[in-house]
Amino acid sequence: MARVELVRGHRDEARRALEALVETRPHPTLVAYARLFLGEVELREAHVEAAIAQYREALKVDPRLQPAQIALSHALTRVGRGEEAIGVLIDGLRATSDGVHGWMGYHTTTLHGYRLAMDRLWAEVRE
Amino acid sequence: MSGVGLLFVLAALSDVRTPRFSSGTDQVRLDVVVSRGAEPIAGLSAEDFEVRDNGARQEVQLVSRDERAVHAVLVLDFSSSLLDEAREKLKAAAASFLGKLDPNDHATLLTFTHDLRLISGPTLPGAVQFQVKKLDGSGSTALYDAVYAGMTVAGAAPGRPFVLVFTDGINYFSWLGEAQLLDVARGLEPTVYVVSTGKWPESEDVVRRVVRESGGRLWHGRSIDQLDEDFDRVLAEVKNRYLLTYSPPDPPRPGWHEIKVKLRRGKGQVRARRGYFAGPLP
Repeated sequence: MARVELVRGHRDEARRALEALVETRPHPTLVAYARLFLGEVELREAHVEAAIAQYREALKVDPRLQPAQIALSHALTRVGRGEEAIGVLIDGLRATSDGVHGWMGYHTTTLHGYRLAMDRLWAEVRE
Repeated sequence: MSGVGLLFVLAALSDVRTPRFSSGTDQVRLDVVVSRGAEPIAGLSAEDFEVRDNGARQEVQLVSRDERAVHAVLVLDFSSSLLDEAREKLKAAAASFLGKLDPNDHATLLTFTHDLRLISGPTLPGAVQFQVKKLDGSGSTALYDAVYAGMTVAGAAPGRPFVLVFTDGINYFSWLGEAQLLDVARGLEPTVYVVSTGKWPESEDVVRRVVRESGGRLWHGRSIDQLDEDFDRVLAEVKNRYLLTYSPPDPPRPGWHEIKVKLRRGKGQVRARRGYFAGPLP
């Protein structure tokens, strides 16, 4: 839903949804993706440093999340921090040289995490 | 800083990379290809070139051939659409290409499908060549991510950087969008060459634009049987480039600097990067 809001240009709604998602402490992969998309929200508002911070958080949770490696490197290049951009990309690519989350794997993991998060939320609501 | 900032930063990485120029960091370095038809023209001197930076004529110097080792970044498409026979031909062409680099050159090998893999490098060409046999992959085609990664990784080793991309198709699935790729690619230093066995639409495409603005070339609709020939053509071109340097005004005016290069006398087709960014990207 947050992704849809982001695509539609509803950045505040997207940010709220993503932050709420992180608060629920779902599966780490889902947290990493939420941070990645929060970075995108920041980037679309030209808050490049804030985007960089979100991408770093995403990689802290999941160092093998290649879209976050690319997004962080790209953002660093944009602000002229070329040396860091090269380091992030090379370190990231070396960390994933044995393969990254395939998209099937990603969706499976994400949906699994989503399901767990929803189960947790549902349990809280029932309490 | 970005763009030229990156150039300066790259030059400043002397702790992790061999310094390439002793004349200081505030230089613009420009790889220039001069050709007549398909043949590179050799034997030119600095006086044969006229270089303008935002219209202002520059005093250029020609860097000696000894300092023109290259860093070749091979970026190879191993998406599912590449069939077994084509894979073997691609591996053979890549191995042959790496074998033709000089011992003081550097090389890096990346493959891509819907994601990227750093197979080897940056290191000496022989070490990279050793890894080619193992290449494999399946999935979609993240061409924009691959071009960005190749251009960025190219800054990680000494040598004049260039990126050689092979793909059998067009971009399907990248994290970076067109605008994002173009945003930064215009400010990065490497020359980009693309060889594609797919037929590309004639309409303007971001990869085509990145290639043109980097001073590189794109060949599409090529046969997999011509890969050796195409890769050789790239190597001949990069090895016969002229490396010109000049010092822009201090400090350079922030923003895009358009570079125009032409021959003062004689005829020949001149290709070079079309500009650089000074200061942060807009």
